[in-house]
Amino acid sequence: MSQAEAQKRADRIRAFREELRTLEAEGILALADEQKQRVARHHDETLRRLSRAFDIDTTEAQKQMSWGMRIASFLGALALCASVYLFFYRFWGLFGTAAQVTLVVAAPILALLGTEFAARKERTLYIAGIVGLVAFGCFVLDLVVLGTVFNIAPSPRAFLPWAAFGFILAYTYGLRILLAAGILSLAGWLSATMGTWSGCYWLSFGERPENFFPAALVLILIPLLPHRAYRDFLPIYRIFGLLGVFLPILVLANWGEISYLRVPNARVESLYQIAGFAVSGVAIWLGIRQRHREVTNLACTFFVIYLYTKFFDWWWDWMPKYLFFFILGSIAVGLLLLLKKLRTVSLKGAA
Amino acid sequence: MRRLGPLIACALLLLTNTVVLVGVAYNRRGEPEARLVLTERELRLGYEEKENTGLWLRLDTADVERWAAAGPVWFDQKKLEEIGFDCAVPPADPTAELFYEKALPRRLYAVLEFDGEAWKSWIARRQQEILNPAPGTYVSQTLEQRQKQLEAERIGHSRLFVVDVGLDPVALRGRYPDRSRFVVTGAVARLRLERSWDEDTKKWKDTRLEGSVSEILPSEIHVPLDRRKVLDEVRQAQLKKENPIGWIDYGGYAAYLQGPPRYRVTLSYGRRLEPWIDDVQPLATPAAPGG
Repeated sequence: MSQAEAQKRADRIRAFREELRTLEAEGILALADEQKQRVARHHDETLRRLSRAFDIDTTEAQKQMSWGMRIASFLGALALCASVYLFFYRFWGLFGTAAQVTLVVAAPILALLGTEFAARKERTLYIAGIVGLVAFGCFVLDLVVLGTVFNIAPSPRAFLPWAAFGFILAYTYGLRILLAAGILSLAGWLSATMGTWSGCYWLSFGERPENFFPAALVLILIPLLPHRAYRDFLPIYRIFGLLGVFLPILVLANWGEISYLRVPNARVESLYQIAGFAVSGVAIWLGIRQRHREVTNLACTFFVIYLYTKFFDWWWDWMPKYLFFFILGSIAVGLLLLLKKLRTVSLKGAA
Repeated sequence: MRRLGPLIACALLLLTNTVVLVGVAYNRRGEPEARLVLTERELRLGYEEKENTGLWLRLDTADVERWAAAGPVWFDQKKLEEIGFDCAVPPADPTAELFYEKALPRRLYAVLEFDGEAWKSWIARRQQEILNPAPGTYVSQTLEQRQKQLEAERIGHSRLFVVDVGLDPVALRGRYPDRSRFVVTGAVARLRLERSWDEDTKKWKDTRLEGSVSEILPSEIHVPLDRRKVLDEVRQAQLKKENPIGWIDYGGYAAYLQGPPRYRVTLSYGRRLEPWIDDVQPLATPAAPGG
């Protein structure tokens, strides 16, 4: 069982207790005292066990605090990475080449040891997450500095060990922030490789947003692999995979000249506008059907963005602004009703 | 995974660093692939950041694009096809603009010539342009001012020119065997459709494909601590002259060095065409004008 699954079980127990109280108050259900005590004892014991093993939140107040701690640890990790980077560049000119190399090689190893130490000492893994991201940042710094010191031309191959390091830390400690770092590195490598296959210099891969599509497809397919102990990782893959599809489509729907397609720009833009609506529509349907909330939410957001950017192109210049916003609002309401209908149909189908 | 993870991560760190450092050792093993003695004209001090104590030199290669526009246009369609650009659509074809605006830069190898024929023909052309401008050209400076400008370019301009490009560094070295004058290095090239508008016929004319080297890889050369002494003295002298705000411009953003060079650098290129600085010496007296 992962920490996320343990947390889900604790949430279910809390919801069950609340619902039982409501049913008793409404006179629908009245358990015998002996039954009530047996259930309560079982739940207390389960919560204690889960809390001991995973340091989960057993009350609503604890849960709210956890969100704050998660945000604080993420910001702290980013700030510490920036600090390590700036600290190194502030003093590296005072060291000889051997000392520079020793420092940058040793830094990620020391941070890795720190991550392991923090993970053993603290079950919530907030500190381990911070130190883990610092280890990742140190590894990035390591290869960048070696490249600079020895005048090595930049290469997309550096993304591969960074991705591997991010994934190893993520799967070792169950850290989603490191998973995101690994995913970004992997997407960088796949997209740059795609660019070089098409013949361009790898640093120009961003000039053709279609280069991101294969990486996005890989990320979307990864959740099909067994992930029994890491079920809370699956939404992260789906989110980054969908972003790898939706964002390039958004760019290409507005700037056709940066597409690989050698057809007039207006036609490229029209093609990607249609693709945007089609892909987000399918993703909304799939998200509802598969009960992947993150897929539905992200697809809905981009569907609306595609729609609004199109309306802006068509109407902003000639339509009165009050009418423009009235139409946007009306369409949002219409979209809401449509999604509601789709949801009802989908739930009936699932039943 | 929980027990093995940290060990695998540590092994990955060590392996990656080993691969990089073995590559560095391989690059510097044996005789350098090329060794040039350049001056501040070709290797200008990089700008200084307030919170960065590192130091680098910028390899200043004369702009191929500009040179090709006025000199021998060697980077033509044939050369572009040789290095892998798709030039299937004739430049005058109506679909050429759409076709060639999609061409992306390509990674290749470039040959840099130091203080050779390219430099001599460039400075001769500048002399002609500055002192004997073509009839009808607007000239705002006096003859004396133009002579000063020519002299400044003669003693400050980089003498490093890109003279050829290709996909095979060994074949390029075979064509340019002088390792003290020619460097084969990584580069990035771009294609562009060149043409001019004819007002009389209301049509494009002189339509052709041209290539240009947009980047030399690497063009920023790191200066190790044991080679910094002379350069730090130059920087200190510069600091006394100016009031730096954030970073200091050493003339690196002008088209050429504003004054005589103050140091000489021995730059070597290894087996993987990665450069390093072998030696830095001060230049006590202004170098004799080139050309």
